[in-house]
Amino acid sequence: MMRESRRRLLFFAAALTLCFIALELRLFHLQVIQSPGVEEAVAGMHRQAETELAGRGRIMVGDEYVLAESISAVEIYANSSWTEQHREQITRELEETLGVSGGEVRALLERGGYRKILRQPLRDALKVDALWRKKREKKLPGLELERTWVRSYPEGRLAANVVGYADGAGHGHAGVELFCDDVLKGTAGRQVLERDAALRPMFDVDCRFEPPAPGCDVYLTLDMVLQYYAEEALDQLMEEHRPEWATAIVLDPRTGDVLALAVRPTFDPAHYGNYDLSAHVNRAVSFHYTPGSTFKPFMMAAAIERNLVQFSEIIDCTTFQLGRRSVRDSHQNGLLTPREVMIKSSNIGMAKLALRLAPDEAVSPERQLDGFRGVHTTLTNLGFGCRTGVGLPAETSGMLASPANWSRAYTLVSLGFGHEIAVSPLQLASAYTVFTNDGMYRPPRIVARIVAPDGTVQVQERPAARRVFSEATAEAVREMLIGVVDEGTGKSAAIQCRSVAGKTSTAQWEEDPSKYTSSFVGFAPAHEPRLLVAIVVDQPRGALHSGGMVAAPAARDILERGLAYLRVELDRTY
Amino acid sequence: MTETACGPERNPSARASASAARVVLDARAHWLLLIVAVLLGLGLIMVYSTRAPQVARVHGLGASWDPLVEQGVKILIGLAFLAAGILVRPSWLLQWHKPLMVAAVVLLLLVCVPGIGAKINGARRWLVFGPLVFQPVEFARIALIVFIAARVSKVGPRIREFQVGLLPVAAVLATLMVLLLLQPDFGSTVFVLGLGTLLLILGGARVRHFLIMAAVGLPVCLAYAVTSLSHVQDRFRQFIDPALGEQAKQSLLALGSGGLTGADFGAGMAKLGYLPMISSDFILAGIGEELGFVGTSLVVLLFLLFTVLATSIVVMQRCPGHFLIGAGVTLSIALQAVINVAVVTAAVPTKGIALPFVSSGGSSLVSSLFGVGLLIGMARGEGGWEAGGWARLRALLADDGELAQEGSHG
Repeated sequence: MMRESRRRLLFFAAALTLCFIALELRLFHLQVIQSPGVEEAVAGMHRQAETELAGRGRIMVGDEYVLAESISAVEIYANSSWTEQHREQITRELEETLGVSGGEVRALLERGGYRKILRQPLRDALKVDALWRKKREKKLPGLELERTWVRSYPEGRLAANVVGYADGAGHGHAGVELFCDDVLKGTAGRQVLERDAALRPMFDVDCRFEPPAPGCDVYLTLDMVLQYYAEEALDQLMEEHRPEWATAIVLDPRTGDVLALAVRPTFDPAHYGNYDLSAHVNRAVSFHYTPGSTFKPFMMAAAIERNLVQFSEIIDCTTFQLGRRSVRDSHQNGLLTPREVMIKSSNIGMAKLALRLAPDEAVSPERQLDGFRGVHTTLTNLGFGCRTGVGLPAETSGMLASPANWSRAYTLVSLGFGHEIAVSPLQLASAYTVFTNDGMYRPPRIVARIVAPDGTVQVQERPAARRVFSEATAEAVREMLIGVVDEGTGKSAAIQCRSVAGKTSTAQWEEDPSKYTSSFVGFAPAHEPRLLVAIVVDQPRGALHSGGMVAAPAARDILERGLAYLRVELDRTY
Repeated sequence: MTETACGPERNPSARASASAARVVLDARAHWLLLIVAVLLGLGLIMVYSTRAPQVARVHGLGASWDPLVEQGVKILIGLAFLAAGILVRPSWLLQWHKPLMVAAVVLLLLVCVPGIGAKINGARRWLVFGPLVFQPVEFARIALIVFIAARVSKVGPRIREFQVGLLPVAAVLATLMVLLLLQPDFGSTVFVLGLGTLLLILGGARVRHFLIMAAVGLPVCLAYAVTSLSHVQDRFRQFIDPALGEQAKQSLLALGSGGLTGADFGAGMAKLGYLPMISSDFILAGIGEELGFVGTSLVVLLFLLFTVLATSIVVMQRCPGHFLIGAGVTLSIALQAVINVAVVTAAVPTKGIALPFVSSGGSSLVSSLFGVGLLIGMARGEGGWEAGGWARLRALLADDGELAQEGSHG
């Protein structure tokens, strides 16, 4: 009997020993073989990287105007599992410090979970200080305060479409905020914390805290006074003519710097969500349209540059026929000199001049194509068909067909009066710098310099100017443009005692003849330009729709006030 | 054999050898003590490591040494019981088996009395006497071992008969189980059932009787447990679908993240609320996380050695009563270890079974160390290894004598 018992005990002991060995193997499997994958999963579970958002850089104009800045704020979080016993205290303290309704706070706490107490981050510096003090005094048990930033736009709608906006998380979404996001946003601070199961931070893993590096400030080339004039002129224009949209661009004609850029409709960057997306768009760079007559000076210059125009010659501007296509003028013209063609904005005259830019197909198709290529190159050098690189997002390159795709001479004729091409308002304005710079094209620029938090200045070099026309050609066309304002379609842009040069345009929509895009590009003083203004008005709905009547007066307002502001001396006696 | 055969009036030669061994402890007893000491030491530092952060969070950094002191005190009390186990004569325990069992039943009943019985985590398993918290099931375990040992040595070979031998013991066992299920403590119920069954089989009961009882009782028990005990239901579901078993999952994560050598002592993360029972039932996961496979395999290895050594002591006992008490203690500790490690490694469903000597529970420490004391007491004298060793073991295994005859050999 006892023998049997002993045997049974030894059997049990052997079985248990086998169990231990099996468990040993299981542990080996779990801890050595499967371990590598588990270690990663666990690190993710226990560790949590805390990031502290960096302050976003400012968008400045000069040193006095702040267009966008980030203001330090505090976000308050409550985790119901820690606040449960302290609801009354928290409610009382928050009511006292922030002046919020206790009932709302209590309701939020009772709803449980991890919640933000305030809908908006708290910006009031005094309240923020009071809150941190209470936190240090341990009067806010279970509440977590998190530093954050609120983007503020002190100038409101002024230059809103240039500035754009950034969202609550500090990501730029339009304008300079988007284009310069990389330099503005800075680098978020980072700290890796280990947390217990209730998500309370335990220890700083490797005691490494990378403080947030604030973003750089971006200084724009804008002049806020001119910007204000441009905005005001547009507001008046919008009221009088109720167009779909309108834009006003002011360039420094000598450098290409953008001095003002206003767009309607516009929005308030601080409350961007309240506006339709179409109001966020910067139409001066993101939209392209058929320029019409404002394009004529470039074709005229191209013809003069190639010695295809005699200033004293007479052009018959009564009719024009090319194959089955005829070109008409808005009112009947007779025999005109080239200058008069420009002043009266004769499409027939421009069509005939444009035809001279390439030999007839009958002479030689190859030579004709060479002629087309020459024109295309000139237009490309003027910045058409490619982005200006001004420093704003979502820029359009416009539309300029390559010569191989031209419908032969028809396209050349159309280009003569600014059709079969689409340009952005800024492209057009920039191209006019060839007339203010003795034939040199100046690409536009809107970011003047970037200043790092440590004071390091990084100047945004102006892109190199390039010669498109000779000095003489530019001078000749400029004289014509003075004529346009003095005695032609642009009379309403004329300013007393100042010489103004410019060109109007009233481009009828091909797809809908009842609609027009009216524009005016001009500069003053004509011989030593200080300001270049472009106004584009889409679908004016008032009694008047011509560029001369809709766009030119707005340009005149901006030029007159702007020149006075710049203390530019009067250059005429009449 | 009669009960008295193991009593104090055994023959003079046996007495002489016993008194001689009183001076020189058996080598296996030394080893047994060493193993237990290592496990106790490991438990002490690991309980400290796993409890200190949470204690410090609640009571401040100054209180972070409290768990160490607390566990140290528990170990000291346990060591006092170990000494008592060495000194107490197993025959004395056998004589008092009935009062002991009555006391166990009363204690288990007291658990249900509000004011004395404390309800923790939805179960009434603890008795509270002032600062003393005590788990009666640990006492009941010892009482059951003693009771079965006494009954078997009393009825002798008639244990093979169902009505005379097995039924009274089975009735007592069933009573204990019902009381444990009332707490409810499903893990301990199963454990007590298993331990009792193994002891009765060791004592000579027929395996066939158990199979018949199991065929009747097991479906009833399981049906009851699965339908009535919600936490058992949960655990079964969790075991079938591992995604539900958060404890098991966290345990495996802790073990896995420890790797071969662990994250270093004190550097574990599971104790920060991820694995709630880490200082008691899941202490092995804590060891695995901080000391790695090196630590856990050491623990398992020590328990294996413990089982082998204890068996070698028990198997040489001539008195059936001593033999069965020793076997009960050995099986109880080894089984607890096996189940605990299996639970921690998610090899079986989660049950509340402590790891002997290592987990933080005081009652478990006391009962286990008292058992070790009994084993060491048995290692003296006639169970001694020096005189004969293997040869004697072989002789004992070859001896076909009845249990009753063994004692009178002299």
